[in-house]
Amino acid sequence: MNRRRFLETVGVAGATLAAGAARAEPTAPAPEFCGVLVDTTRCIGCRACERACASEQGFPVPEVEHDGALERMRDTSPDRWTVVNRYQTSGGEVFVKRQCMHCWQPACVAACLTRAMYKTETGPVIWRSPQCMGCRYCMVSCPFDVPKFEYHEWNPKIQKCDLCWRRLAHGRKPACVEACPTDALMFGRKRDLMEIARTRIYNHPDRYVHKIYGEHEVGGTGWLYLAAVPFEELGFRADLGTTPYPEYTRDFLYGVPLVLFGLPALLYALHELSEPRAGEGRDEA
Amino acid sequence: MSRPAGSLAAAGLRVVAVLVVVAGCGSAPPVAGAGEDATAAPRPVVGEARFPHDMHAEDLGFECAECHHETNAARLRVPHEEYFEDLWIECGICHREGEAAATPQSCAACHHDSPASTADETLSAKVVIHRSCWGCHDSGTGVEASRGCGFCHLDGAIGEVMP
Repeated sequence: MNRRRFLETVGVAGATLAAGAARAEPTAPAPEFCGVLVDTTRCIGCRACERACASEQGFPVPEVEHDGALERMRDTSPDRWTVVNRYQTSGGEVFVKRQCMHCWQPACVAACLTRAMYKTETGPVIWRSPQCMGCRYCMVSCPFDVPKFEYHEWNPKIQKCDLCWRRLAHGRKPACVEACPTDALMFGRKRDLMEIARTRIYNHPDRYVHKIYGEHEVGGTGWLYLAAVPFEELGFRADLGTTPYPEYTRDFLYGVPLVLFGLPALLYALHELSEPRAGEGRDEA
Repeated sequence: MSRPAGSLAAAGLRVVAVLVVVAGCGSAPPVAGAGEDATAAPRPVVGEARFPHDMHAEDLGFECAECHHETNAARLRVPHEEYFEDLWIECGICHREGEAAATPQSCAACHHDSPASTADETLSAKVVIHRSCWGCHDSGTGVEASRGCGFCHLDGAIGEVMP
């Protein structure tokens, strides 16, 4: 490239940049993470959310009137993304809905080698089948034991709540939230939900324990819970800490390239320095 | 040879997925019944509900205001208080006299689906309507509550969110 050509190129690039800047329109505000506020004091245990979820996702819709599911503790499963469990607590019986918590910094996403597990810009943590190689690290890493594997399928998938992200894309709420007859579930931006949750505690300090589960747990989650009794009584883990799970491995992972490339270079340099120069021996001799 | 094509498709899919999700959350949350066809009886999102209106009003002798607004509700904060001196429920708010079609206003017009702020945390229309039924027909909890859904919502429709 000669001087003339270089100047031409720079000139064209500069003009393009300037034009681009002139055309730049006010950009839309950055999307905020969405989530759901669960007020367990409002839940009546009707399990309409379970039915709505199953119906939306094409799973077998539970016979909520006859299956006696509240008599035992249940976990989510490949064809049941959410369950409502009944707890006998110091404050009477309490119903608690469970599903993926949609962490802010999800351990499953950090653990996924192929980026099949993916945190979308608006909050839902989704699983993308084309990328998945079936290692199930997401299941091991999840602090809430949420992702489930279809062990009995010939082409198994990871199954977990995806916060109905396809519905969200059409401006609709998650199916469970829409089905809840008591607004025990409330969908919104986390910023707003936190404000609402705090206001409820502030307005009814005797009705709630003064804690919002999910505000800080594992760095914050998309689903937030309010309760009248300590969360330990409702089967919530209190030992998770407030550090996002990916943080635990970040230092190590950043250290790997340093060790892999830095250490050999250092050793080689030492080797070069300690090696007697080719001419030295002869001079002394 | 198929690998570049596959990864390209995957990348494309990812871009589309992200765009779709972004578009979804950017738009305002939907408010049920706020459209042009808003009526006093909002269409339930979960199955159609039956409510024998005549039976409640005529046979059981309910006053309109008993269901259509709680008489002991907190005072409504409205911009023109002079119109609402004594009554908690003013029929004229919804049923305007002299108008050819007295279109009743949707409950959701005040009882918002998605509170915009804490100051706006009125109970949503969905909850308010459910509660007014539960005043007499106890919702119960657990299995009882599950069975209760079918009392009004048509069989098999419970939990099946309308498309």
